[in-house]
Amino acid sequence: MAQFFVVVSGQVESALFEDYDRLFAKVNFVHNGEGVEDWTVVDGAEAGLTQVARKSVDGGSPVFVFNYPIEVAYASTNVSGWPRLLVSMFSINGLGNHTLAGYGFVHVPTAPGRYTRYVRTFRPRSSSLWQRINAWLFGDPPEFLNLPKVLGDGKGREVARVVSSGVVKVTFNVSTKGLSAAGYSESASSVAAAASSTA
Amino acid sequence: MAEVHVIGEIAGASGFPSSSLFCKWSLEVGASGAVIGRGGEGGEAYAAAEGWRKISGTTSGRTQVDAPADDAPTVWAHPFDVHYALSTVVGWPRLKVEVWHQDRYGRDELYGYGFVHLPTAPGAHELDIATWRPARSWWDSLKAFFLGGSPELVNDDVVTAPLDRFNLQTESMGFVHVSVNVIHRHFAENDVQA
Repeated sequence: MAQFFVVVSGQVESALFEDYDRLFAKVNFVHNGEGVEDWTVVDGAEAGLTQVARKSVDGGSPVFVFNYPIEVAYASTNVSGWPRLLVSMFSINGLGNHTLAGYGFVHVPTAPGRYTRYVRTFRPRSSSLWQRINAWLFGDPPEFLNLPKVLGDGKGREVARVVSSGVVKVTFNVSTKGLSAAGYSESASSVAAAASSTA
Repeated sequence: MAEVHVIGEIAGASGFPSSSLFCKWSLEVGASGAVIGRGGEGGEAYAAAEGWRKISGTTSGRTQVDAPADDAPTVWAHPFDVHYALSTVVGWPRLKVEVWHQDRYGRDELYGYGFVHLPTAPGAHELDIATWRPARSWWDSLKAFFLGGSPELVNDDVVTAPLDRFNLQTESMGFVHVSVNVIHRHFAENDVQA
């Protein structure tokens, strides 16, 4: 079967979170899925860790700016299991402890071009009053154990209770090679072009 | 071989704590954020990045110092026009900027680092580059007040390379505004959609 390539670049630009002074992000790409093992990374890094950012001390900017680059290239023979970007936001409290601020995910756009995506994040809620008190006392809120499964595949969410948190701004540049040769059409314009050529 | 033209301008900046700003900029190409294709002023014809070759144009420079009246936005209107030949879309060009503030004594103080991947899609694009700078301790702030200057990165490759930055503490600054036009040549012949 014909192989095609997807090249993704861009950045985790910034985040808008209330009630936090210092934030950092863990960035992960996940690909493939249940019964799909076609995707391989041919270049770039699938995971990264941003700097610890804080808002402007001069009050000029209300957002946390990371401007963290993402660059990864994939090869595949099947569009099932299209890559997804997982973002985990963590805050650092006054004692230097890392506490979860929110999880979010977004699919890499399937059509070539430049995109801006706003990833809405959420974090798990404590399942009981005792755990809530414990989390507040020790600065250790609940987290998901198997993040790629829960966030990337949607497995095991049935019993999870979450509270929404902030928003992360991500920009993507997507380029593809060989998709049309493999018989795929990426965008509405290419579908229309194919329809007009067969008419 | 496919070709790409990048034609545009560093229009200006906004959201910085004070005016009298200038910008150092450079265009980089290279795989996986490795900074291996930074051209010099009027630079070498070949970028060291595998698969990318600079045909013409200047890939780094510095704007004038703009000190606008009142609270008007900073205007640089600094043009760039670069022509690349490429055999891979991996390592697409990145525009890296450093914003500096020049005080009344002529001292330069770092106001922000930032970068943006130039759009892969052809056409006219307006980009806003969010910037950050290393966070200052109270001692740094005191020193800056009397002596000028501010903490800087020893190695600014970290701005565009996807390395772990966890040891770095930063604060958010303003935005640099860029207008860019991207023109493709021979992409369709190579079955590349961008």
